[in-house]
Amino acid sequence: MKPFPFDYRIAENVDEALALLAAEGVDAKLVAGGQSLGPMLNYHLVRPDYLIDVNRIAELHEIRHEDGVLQIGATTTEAAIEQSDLVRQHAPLLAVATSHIGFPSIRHRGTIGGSVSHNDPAAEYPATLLALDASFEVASMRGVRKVTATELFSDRFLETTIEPDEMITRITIPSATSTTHFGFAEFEERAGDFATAGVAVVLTMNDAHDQIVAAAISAFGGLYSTRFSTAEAALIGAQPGAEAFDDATAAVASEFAVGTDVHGSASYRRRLVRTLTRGALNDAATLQPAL
Amino acid sequence: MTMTDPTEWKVVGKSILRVDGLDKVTGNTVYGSDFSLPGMLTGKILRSPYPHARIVSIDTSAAQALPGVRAVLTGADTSGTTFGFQGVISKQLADKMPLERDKVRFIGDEVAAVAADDEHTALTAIDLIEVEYEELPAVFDPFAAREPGAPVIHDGVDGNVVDIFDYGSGDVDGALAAADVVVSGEFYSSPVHPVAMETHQALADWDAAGRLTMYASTQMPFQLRTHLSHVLGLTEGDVKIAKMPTGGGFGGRMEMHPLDPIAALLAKQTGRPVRIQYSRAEEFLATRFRHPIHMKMTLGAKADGTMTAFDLDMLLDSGAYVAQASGVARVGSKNAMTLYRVANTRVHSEVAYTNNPYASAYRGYGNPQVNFAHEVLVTELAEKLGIDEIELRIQNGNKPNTESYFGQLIGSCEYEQVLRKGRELSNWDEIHGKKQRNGSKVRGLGVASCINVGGGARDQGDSDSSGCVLIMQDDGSVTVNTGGQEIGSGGSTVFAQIVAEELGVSIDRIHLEQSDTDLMPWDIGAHAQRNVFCAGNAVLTAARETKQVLIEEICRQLECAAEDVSIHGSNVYIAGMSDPQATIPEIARGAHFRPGGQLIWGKGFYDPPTIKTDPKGYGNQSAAYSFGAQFAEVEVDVETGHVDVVRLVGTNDVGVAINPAGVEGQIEGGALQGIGQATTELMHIENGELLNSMMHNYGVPTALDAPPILAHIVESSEPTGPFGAKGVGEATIVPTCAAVTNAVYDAIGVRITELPLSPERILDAIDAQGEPA
Amino acid sequence: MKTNSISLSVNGEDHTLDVQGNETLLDTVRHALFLTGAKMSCEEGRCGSCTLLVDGNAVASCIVLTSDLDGASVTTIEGLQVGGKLHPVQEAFLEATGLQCGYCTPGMVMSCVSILDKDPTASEEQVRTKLSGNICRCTGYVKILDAVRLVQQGHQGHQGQEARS
Repeated sequence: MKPFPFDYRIAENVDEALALLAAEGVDAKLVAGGQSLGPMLNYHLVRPDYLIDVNRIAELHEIRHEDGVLQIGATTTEAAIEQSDLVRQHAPLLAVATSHIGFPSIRHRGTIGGSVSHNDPAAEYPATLLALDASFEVASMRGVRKVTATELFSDRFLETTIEPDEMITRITIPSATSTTHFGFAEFEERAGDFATAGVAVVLTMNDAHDQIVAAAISAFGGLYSTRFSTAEAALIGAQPGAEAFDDATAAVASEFAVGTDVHGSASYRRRLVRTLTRGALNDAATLQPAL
Repeated sequence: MTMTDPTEWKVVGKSILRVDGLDKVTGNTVYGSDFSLPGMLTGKILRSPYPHARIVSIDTSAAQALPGVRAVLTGADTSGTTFGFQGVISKQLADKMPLERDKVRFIGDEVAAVAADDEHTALTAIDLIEVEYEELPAVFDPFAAREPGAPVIHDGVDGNVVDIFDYGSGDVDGALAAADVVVSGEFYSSPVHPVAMETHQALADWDAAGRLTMYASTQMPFQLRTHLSHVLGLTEGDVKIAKMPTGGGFGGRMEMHPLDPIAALLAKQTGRPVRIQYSRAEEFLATRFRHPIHMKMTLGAKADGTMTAFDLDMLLDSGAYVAQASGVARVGSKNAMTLYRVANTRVHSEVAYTNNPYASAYRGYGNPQVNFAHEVLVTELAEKLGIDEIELRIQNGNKPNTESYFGQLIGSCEYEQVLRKGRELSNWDEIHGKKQRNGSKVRGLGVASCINVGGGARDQGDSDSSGCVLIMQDDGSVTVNTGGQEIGSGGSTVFAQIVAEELGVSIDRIHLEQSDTDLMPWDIGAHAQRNVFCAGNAVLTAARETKQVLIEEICRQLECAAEDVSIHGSNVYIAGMSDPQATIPEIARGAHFRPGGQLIWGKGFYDPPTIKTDPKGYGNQSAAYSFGAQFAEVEVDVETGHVDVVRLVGTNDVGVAINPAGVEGQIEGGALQGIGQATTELMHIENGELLNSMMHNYGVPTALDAPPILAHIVESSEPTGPFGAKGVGEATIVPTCAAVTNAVYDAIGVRITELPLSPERILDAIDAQGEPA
Repeated sequence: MKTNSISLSVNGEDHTLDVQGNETLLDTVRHALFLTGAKMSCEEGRCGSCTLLVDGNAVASCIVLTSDLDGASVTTIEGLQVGGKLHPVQEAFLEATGLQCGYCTPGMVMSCVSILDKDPTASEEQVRTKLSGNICRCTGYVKILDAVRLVQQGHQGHQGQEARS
């Protein structure tokens, strides 16, 4: 169906976007690529009075690497991220996760800021950014603040912790180093769909690559995207391999918050996430940091 | 029909380009959804939110008052006439009103409708209509619906069983008792949706004299004309169905849907054209889909492999209305009873109403569902007999020029060859039974076969005919006015090939009229894979008559004898003279630019020499029968439960393939729809509510899910078919679910009896079994 | 509601349009520009029947709001022909019979054009993956992939015209 009518304001720069947001408040929605919002508008699941287009703001479409940190503007498209040499070099997990998002037409328009703000529990980005310990620049008329991925997503689904008058402007990811290993596994029943379940893993090893120094495990496809601290703690100091991974895998499966729906029962989804966690951990044990 | 020599065919048997292809590939084709009329209004329908409720009152005043609203209708504004696709057979089968007056019977049932200047206004008006419902107890399970005390869904149908029949022959109980091996199982075939890419639409326009034109996306324009005129209190001559190019039929566009009469009524009320186009969600919940069927089936055989008994007890969940359930049940049964030559057969079938959305025709029409149970059991039977399952099928399968136990005259039949060729092409002996392992994935190969009517199907009120009128224009081009259909599968190209071959006119000089019911001669409609066979025969007859007239006219104009005439391209030659004596355009023009003239034209009407199936299941209901087999190769991931069909070989006996690429396309497309039902597709209906009504959560297979499909045509020549052709469009979806299920059994030793083979079902089955084989 | 003045180049022709906020690119091409090749089917950008090229990228036009596209260059199926000659992908679809009902075809062709422009030597697996947003219910995708392969083999499609006469 056609979306219900709304006013469409094009913001030329961040300040203008923030001023519009502050003025229109809860009746307004930000739009960049429109890949999450579009279907909801067509199905009349949302009926905003105002749409604020931030997709024309040049400073938000960029990928930079400086001082050991990868910075991605909020309206950078998924296609640009997928094709970026900087991303492939400094955050290869993000490049891999991006290639799993839908299909090309989605990635040509969809943006990282849009996906993150929408925080669909079955989407790749929130869980992946949790595993990467990403942080986010959040701007409003009241100033700019930085939030961690955990603070931003905080076990929410289809919303984040940002206020109605705030917008995400930049995503910051610490660069991978020579001891960073990653793994990514997802299962979708039919190609191009949202995942039934998926897991992202980042393991930081010692110089000899035979001991885990830090671990990040996140999963999506449940009720919300989240990290698994028990499983992560169990891996610290362990040798990568079946013994350590079995414990971590069991911890993720038992903590994975998931319901029963058309994609299957909770117990099946837990079983699936277990299989995927093992797969992602095994990949992380063997994969090198640079693609 | 005498046949010309296939080695001399110039056009028939060639994969010529689709005659409608250029328009389609340039975006020029005007589908119903692309077409509009000046002043056209947008119609929308208000649907019931309850599965079962009495309509107490409807207040449309706020909706009527909304600026831009041109009409609001409820059931009270209609005559209360009911309709149903098989209503001509029995009044009880006409149980649906365009807008319900007293009761709603499923979530989505049509209650009221609005015509407005634009979609937004129409939807706002829909929200303003206030309906007071009195909720009634509802029933969602067909077994429970039959129990005493279950809510009565339709008055006069106590126990909710709207159709019941018994087919049979011989002594099944005796045969089972004497059998050396008996296999039995309970099976469930799932509700899946055709998901045509174009959603249903209707555009209604009345003229000043009160005659209705409906611009319809339909497979059966004459059926639509009958049902639409009847429900509107008119007769056929008052209604013209203008048939629009259609974005997918698959059976879902056979019957009139409520939006047709509703659009007509809104147009009548407003005096303006009204278009209703279903949203994708409406398409899923309010258009027809495949009946869920519960089956208990038992097969018996002798140690030498002779199948001696077939016993089927089945229950269809019709949903809230009966639509084509009675036909689906009969077609499903008859095909199963005659897939093999079995002397003792018994079928008991019941159709129950429930308060679920209602099912009807979808490619295969009962045959896919029953075939699923049947071919899975035949594989088990072969295992228990210790006989190769392909040989077992051939041993008991149909043979050419025989009569089945149920009176079907099997003419051409390459059943054995479809199986043998498929065995070879699928590398059966290298893969089957080997359970090749690759990490957590195990490989398996399974087979299933089918029979389907291939020469028409006399089951729609006893009509199976088709007419054609062919006119040669003054430039020698030919206009073909056929009742046959182009619903996407390539019928119009085949008709053009038939005319080109018979008349010697080149394809680009043949113009097909896909017009309207005023102009087209009768054809019952495109269903049961009858289009090429029945309409093709009529087209061929018309072409032959036209050729006769042409020769006569040549003889008259050139004063020669018929045997001296030969035509090459546009030139006419007389024996003994090396130069052409005339051109075809000269002859065509000369035929009527004279006193006492005539047109170069011809007509054909074809009605297959068949009879309806009688109440015991007996009767030769088709002039020819098609046979097919599919070999599905799967990889089962025993950790995730995912069933990945990695390759499929489809072999079909189609008589002569008039357009091989077209036949291949039917095999490839039908097989993938079958794979969808076997693996990723399912309508999740819970307590009457369809939970997945969008493309993102209803799993139609994508290009990545689809395996390579090898389509192999096994040619025979069917004497009753045009140039020897038989139908193919349904046989290609019938055996897929069983083939995939048998492949999974081959891989991991679990025999699934409920569709789909979802990952969770596979894992549960592996767990129940103990360990993967 | 206020409209935005949006300049678009569509199939090489410049347009300045008064666009409603809720107007999708699909709406614009079909109803403002009468280019009805692109189709509405799933209403959510999942099926690809509405696929168009925007600045050379395939997008699902039913979920793109035209107001975001000021200055963009749009190509629809109607604009693929150059000088009356079919695009090689269109020729190949005809020759390989990569269509049946044709409803998904405009979107499918646009996606194939985009895929082959960006990666002319994509493997079959890669093509299948990139086409997973274009759903076809009729063909089983077999002859669609045959068409793509024909283009990759440098087939010019003139045989297609010969087969007709």
